[in-house]
Amino acid sequence: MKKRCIILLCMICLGIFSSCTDFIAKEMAQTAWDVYSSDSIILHVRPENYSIGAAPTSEEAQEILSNQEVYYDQIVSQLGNPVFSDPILIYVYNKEEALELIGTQGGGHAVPKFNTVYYTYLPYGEEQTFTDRYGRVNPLVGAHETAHVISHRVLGYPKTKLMSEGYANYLDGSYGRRDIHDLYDAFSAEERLSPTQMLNYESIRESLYYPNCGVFIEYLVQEYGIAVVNALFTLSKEEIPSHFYAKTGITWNEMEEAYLGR
Amino acid sequence: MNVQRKTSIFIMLCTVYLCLPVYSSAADHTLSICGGYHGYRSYSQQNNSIPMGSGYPMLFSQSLLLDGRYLTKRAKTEHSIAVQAVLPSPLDSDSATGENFLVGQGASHWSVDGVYHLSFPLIAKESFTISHAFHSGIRYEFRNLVYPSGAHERTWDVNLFIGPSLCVSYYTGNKVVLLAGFDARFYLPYLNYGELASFDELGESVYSSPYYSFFYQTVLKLEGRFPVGTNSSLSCAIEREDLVGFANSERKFYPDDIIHFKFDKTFSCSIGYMHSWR
Repeated sequence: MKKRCIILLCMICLGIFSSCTDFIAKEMAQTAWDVYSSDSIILHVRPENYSIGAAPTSEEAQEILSNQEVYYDQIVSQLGNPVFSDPILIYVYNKEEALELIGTQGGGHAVPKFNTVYYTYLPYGEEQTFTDRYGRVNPLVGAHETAHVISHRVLGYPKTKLMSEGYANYLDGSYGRRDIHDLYDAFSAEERLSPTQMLNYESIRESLYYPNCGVFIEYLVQEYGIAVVNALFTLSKEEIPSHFYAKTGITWNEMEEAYLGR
Repeated sequence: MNVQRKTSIFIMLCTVYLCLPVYSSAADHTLSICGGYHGYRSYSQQNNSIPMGSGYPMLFSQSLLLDGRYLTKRAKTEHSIAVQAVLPSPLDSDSATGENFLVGQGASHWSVDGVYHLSFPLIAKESFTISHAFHSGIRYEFRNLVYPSGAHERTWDVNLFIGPSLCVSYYTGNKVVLLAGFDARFYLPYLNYGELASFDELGESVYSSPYYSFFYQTVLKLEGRFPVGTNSSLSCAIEREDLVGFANSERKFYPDDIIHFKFDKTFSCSIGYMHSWR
């Protein structure tokens, strides 16, 4: 009896120890998916009768696929010279499970190393209408995360939030299903961030930061060309001003004055 | 000399110092060699808030494992030095439905570990022994993730790790020994170095950066030793390893510009031959 207790105790201890990594990362691999694919996009959505929450219909899944094809082609063509032709995997989770499984239920995130996007299915309200910069009406999954995957894969890993999120917001053109220019125009003078404030990002709320940095990166692209922005993409916040000057002959302060005074 | 280099040298010197008294004529010595199967699965970072979540797509490979071990046992201490190599093998991927959309031709993965254990008996009761141990080691891992287009991302890292261990042994009446062991390994950003380099479809370099990892690994091993002759035995073991964590381009204990991550699970089973002498 005593021997059995010792064995049992040892087994329990080893069982607990062996699952210690769950405190840092849990395995959440699910296999219940309907798959829709095209040349560039492999879309995974929950089956329509999935047990948790409402899932996209087959028509909605086809629409997501067709929208993502457009985003993919447009983003690759806007990046300039870099080449990218790998398929992107998109996993759309139902709203009720998304927070637990992907850490958000208001959008998604990208894992560029695995060419992957995780996203939340958020149907539009009956009176809600939004047309994005690529002319897609009421897109269920926008271009933001796809832009992260492609830009990171062809340019590398950015060290600043300005480059990472600015690039994605510029290429997407929207935040929270509203055009970033409309949001920027509605901001007060204090809410319109300077390039230096954005470069030294410190806990600025996302709804303010994202439209600001998208508008700023668009300004840089229009004024100095995509090649200059691409060259700054992976630099640190300390390196960006001097490299900007080296590429354009214009100091960061001069550019900042021109941007704020436009 | 920077803090990282000083700390790494200190840990290595400690390990070597502890290894020095390993060989002694008054002790029991055991040498073993093992070979077997090694399965590797590396998941994506599905949830990036803490605790993080790993999910599909997943990279996987199947490979051969070689393991050599020297063990010396005295009255109250046991030293063990082991070298384990996972031979290079091609990578494949599973996107959740069994299909591969992520990996192209030429993707590969391999690793080499060297581990030193210093064990002390904790509880010895009849045929049971529970011992606790300190262990440290070095791990090298290489992965070449080739995408379907031919673009690829190459990562390699050298890591020093340290941590505690627990081992339970049960001696049956007919000289068969059953063992269950657990290692917890900590990989700290100041004790490791890695490099990531990515290349586009034309083979042109796109990006390269050093990285510093903050990983945690658990190793669970179950082993049976069956006597063949007076001083020899055959061993049969299964081992499960979970390695989780992230790597930034600078030494940090929190996720910042995560440029690499590992949500790796490995499973191996091996058979080996052990010879003991005094």
